[in-house]
Amino acid sequence: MKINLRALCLPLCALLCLTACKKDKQLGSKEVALTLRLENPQGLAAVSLSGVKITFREINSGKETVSSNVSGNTLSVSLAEGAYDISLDGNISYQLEGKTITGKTGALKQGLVLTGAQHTESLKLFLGQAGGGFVIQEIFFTGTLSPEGKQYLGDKYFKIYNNSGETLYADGLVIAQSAFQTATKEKYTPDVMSSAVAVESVIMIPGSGKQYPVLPGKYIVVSEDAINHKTNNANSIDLSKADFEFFYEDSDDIDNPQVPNMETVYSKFNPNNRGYNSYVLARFEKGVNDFLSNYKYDFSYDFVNDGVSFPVESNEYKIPNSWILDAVNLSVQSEFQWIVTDPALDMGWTFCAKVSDDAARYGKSVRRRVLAIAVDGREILKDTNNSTNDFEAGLRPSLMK
Amino acid sequence: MQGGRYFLNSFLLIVSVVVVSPVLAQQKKIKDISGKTDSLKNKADSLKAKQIALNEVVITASESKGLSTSSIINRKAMQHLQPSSFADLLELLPGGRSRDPNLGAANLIGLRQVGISSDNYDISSLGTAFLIDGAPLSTRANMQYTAGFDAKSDLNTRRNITGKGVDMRTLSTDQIESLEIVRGIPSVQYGDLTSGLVKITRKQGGRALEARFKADGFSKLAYVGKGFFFPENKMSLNVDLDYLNSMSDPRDRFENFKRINTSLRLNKIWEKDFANLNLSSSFDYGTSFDNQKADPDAGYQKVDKYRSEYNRMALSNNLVLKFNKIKVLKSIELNSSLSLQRDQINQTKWVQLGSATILNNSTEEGAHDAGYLTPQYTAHLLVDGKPIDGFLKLMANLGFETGRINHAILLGTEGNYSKNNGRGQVYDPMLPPSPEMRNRNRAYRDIPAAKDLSFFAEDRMSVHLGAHRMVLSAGLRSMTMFGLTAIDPRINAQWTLPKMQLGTSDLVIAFGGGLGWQSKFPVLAQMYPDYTYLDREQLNYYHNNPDYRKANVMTYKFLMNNDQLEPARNKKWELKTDISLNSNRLSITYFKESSTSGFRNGTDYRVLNYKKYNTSGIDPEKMTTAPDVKDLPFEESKTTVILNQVQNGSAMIKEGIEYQFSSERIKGINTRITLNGAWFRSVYENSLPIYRGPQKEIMQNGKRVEVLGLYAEDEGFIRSQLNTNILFDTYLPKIGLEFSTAIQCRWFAAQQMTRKNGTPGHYVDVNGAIHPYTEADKSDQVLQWLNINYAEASFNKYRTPMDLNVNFKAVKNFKDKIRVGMFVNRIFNYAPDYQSNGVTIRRSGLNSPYFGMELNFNL
Repeated sequence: MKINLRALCLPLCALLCLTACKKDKQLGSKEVALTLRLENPQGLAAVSLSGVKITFREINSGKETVSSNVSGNTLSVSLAEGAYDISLDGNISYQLEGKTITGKTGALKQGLVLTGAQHTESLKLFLGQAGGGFVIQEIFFTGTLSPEGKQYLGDKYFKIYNNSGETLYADGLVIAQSAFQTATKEKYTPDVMSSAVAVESVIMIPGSGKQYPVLPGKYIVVSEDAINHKTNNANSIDLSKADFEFFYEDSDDIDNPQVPNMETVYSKFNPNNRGYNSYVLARFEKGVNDFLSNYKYDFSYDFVNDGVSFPVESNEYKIPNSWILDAVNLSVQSEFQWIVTDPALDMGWTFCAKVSDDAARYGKSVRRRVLAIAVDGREILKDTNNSTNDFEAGLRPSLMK
Repeated sequence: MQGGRYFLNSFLLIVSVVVVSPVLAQQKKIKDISGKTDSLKNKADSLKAKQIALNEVVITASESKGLSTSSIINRKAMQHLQPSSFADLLELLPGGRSRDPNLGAANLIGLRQVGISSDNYDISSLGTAFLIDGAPLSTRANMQYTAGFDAKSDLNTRRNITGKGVDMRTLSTDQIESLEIVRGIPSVQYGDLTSGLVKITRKQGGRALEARFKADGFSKLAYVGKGFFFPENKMSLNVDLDYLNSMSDPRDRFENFKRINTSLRLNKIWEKDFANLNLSSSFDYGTSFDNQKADPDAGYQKVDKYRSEYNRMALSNNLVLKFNKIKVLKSIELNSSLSLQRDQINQTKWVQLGSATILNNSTEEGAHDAGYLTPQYTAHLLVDGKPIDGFLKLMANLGFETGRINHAILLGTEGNYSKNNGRGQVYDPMLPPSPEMRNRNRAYRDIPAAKDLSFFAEDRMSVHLGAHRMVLSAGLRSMTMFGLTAIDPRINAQWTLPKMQLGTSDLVIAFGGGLGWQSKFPVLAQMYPDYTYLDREQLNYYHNNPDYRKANVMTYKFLMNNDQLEPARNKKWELKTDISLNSNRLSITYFKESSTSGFRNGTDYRVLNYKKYNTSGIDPEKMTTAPDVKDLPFEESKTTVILNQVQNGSAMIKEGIEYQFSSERIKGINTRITLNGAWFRSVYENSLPIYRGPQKEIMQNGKRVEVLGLYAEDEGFIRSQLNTNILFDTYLPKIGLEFSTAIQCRWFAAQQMTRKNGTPGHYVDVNGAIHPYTEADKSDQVLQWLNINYAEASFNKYRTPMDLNVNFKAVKNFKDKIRVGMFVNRIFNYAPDYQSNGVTIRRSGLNSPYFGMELNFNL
């Protein structure tokens, strides 16, 4: 019996060996020689670049490498193996209709995987315009927290600004929420991002065409509910003087008779209060019916849940890039994966929440920076189609008193 | 692996106490024994007896040798398993696997299936009857749900057992002497079940003072019990008390579950010449509390708290009169029980409106002006349930012979009464728990009592044909409740071949099979659902000046009961074989169960007519008083809404092979090998068509367009798995040591969606009229949103490869007085990473062991 017991002790101890720790394999740090060819915007003559800065951000480590060593539209750089987001910032001058024009230029390439010894990649440059029309000045999408710490949602708003020197009409302006989220990158097929933005809800400012003038340097406020929210939540905002409000007849929604309602074009507009969706400001070229009849977007992707990947087919609408006046990508700082518009519309992103469930995001908005003050005293807002640079992240909302 | 070091240290410590110290004790013992002067013959006899006794020590579930396929779990197995609640015992069933106790949520039973996380297939657990010493544990009158709270975030959702059956958390195991889990076709004397039956027999007779203390990472458990025996009166009295305190997360003391069960049991025998009378009476009291609230220092929602309390008092009597001299009538049994419950949920919530919101609290149908809700307030919800359950069963056993056939006849009747006398859902109508709620206050005492009555008859015929033995049991049970009826025929048969000699070994082979129908009545909450209130906004004029505001609402009130509701019904058939060679035994069972009428939340639609008042004629800047709807122009409007209704729509096809092999104890190392497992294939489907709204809210000219699709195929899930558990258990009575190593392997788990068509067969327009959905509708601006595309690949089968755990348990017995036990589940885990659709799914390193210890006294 004694021997048997000893014999049994051995396998028991052997069991212990099974719980040993295993070291993770170290990633090799091989270098890749990257040759980047910059492609000039199409249709421009006598293009010359200056002050070009290219940032290589390794996605997993967050490590940034900056280079400005461009010669003859080619840049050579040695980078560690990895997956990179590449963004370019610089000045451009070119000939157009006989005149020499100088301006900003930019480019973006997301998720470029670098392996092997050598890699050649081309990067399409686009023109950064100093915005001349309506721009999104501020988005307050987070809502507020009550003094007791509960979420309050009805006080979200958009501020749309006339960044030009002329009076513009807001009639028919469209605000749309992106169908894709900046924190969830999927391979959507067909990929239409270079020509259109997929949207999941669209609202429109009513009017006959000349009903709602906006003077240069002035703005309009489009709010979820245009009421004095301070009576419901001391930490909120008085929006009873907003210019427009969202209204849904069948959803127990309140209607302030003193504030006109937005028109609903497609689905229910409900801004994500973490900031996972992006927004575009647009104008339909041929009206609502044309949009609803001709711009449906059917797509598919693989959705991974609980370790299992499911193919999903889905349908939304898309707004062509040429109709879009302004685009702002939003995200959550720690969760960002990609921008969901063509880089020519917006190559950056801005945020209120630093982490996914950030309670500090409430009561904060994103607001466009002021570039200059014009001769007539109005503010000219910065619009280089790069929300990272154009916006200030996580500010106190301008309407919050 | 930071916890790993701590774990290893404690493990080594325990191993040294449990394994090494007995070795020393053994050496000492041998010396002692050598001093004794037993005669050689006595020694040999006692050794032989011990060898037999050793073989009888079973620490796993054993297959029953009776007609119904069932697993028997005895006290020894429970002691070795070291459970916290009844739910832990289920790992011993074929297809079972150890799981960490989850005492923060209801623990529901699911026999012979892979399982699925959907409320719509709860008939599996609802249809499993629990009997404690012959008396049913009824949940028919349970209505502890919380109306109005958002089901996803509500704390009660995962603890709600309305229409889901018994919550096994509330059952302790220490009072149990043995239990039988009937997976197959039970005798017709058991009714109101579809899936299976759990028969619990509690400790009885004289017993020493027993005590048990268990601790693991989540909970502490204590038990004390004693049995008194009075031989002169032929009477025994047992007293038990046990207590469990558990936390879902040891770092969070604000969420916990507590349980107390106590019981007093009396057994008395009167013996006379012509008959013996046996009376067993028991009085039980059990209570449990679920508490949850946010940490006041860390949480934002400082007011929010939840407490659910369950109290049950039950008195039951079993009277068995055995006749010694009557030829045909063998015995009469009378079982009765009465249980009173008081269940309360107290939930407090700080409600902050998302924006200005209309207060909908009218209990009358019709149009009316409405006020606005207070923007923030504390809401209290009390759910007060007082279920009363009565049970009476009278049964006669008869026996006679016709020719060579031996008949054992069972005749009986059973009645159950269930009523809930609680105050129901109680809250202040001005401060509703949720602004969107579709329910109102409701008293449960207004719901009529459920009374069922059943009759059953069974003939168990056995015949010896030469050395062959055949047993056939055929029975019929008829049941009625609320005008619903069910008739369940059931048949079980067994054929045992003559004993064969293989060398010195005896080989016994038996074949069996059965076919039976089982029915389960709906519970009270399914028969008498709450009224559904729908409030349509007709005017919501929210002027900046509060004096000029006006809201007008049309309230609809629907009773969504289902006149067509039938008892859920399950058909089972099975074939089995049982082969034993000496004490080695192999049993294999193939079964197939099919049911299409399980209870589920189906859909129906209603058309609401209401007005939309137009205020464009009023100038908001020049008002003197709030608008009156009498003066306003309006437009008639309609909307179709989908409402839930309990329907007989859940189909479940359960199929599988269960196997169990247990060896005799291998001499020398005193080790028994038990190998069991199962292959299960379970299909879960909605057998009824379903109404669905469009995938997106469709807006046309700024107004929502109301259309519904009627889809012939709703959901269907195919799940399958194969598992094998191998258990090596070693029992060394001399040194009082038993230990076991279990290798639990799930070879694969697969899931697949049944093929379905996303194109509706019909659609419902805004007037409630049904039209066929045509090919042209697929490109209609509105109707296109009813057409759902399913990617072809979404019907693919997904397989999760093998996943293996090793569990280790050891118990050391000190002179049969003190037992020290410890266990480690998942001491080793092997779950390789795998690829699914090109994505690598990582599983390694995600498992941490679960372990605990316990101390038992037997004084």
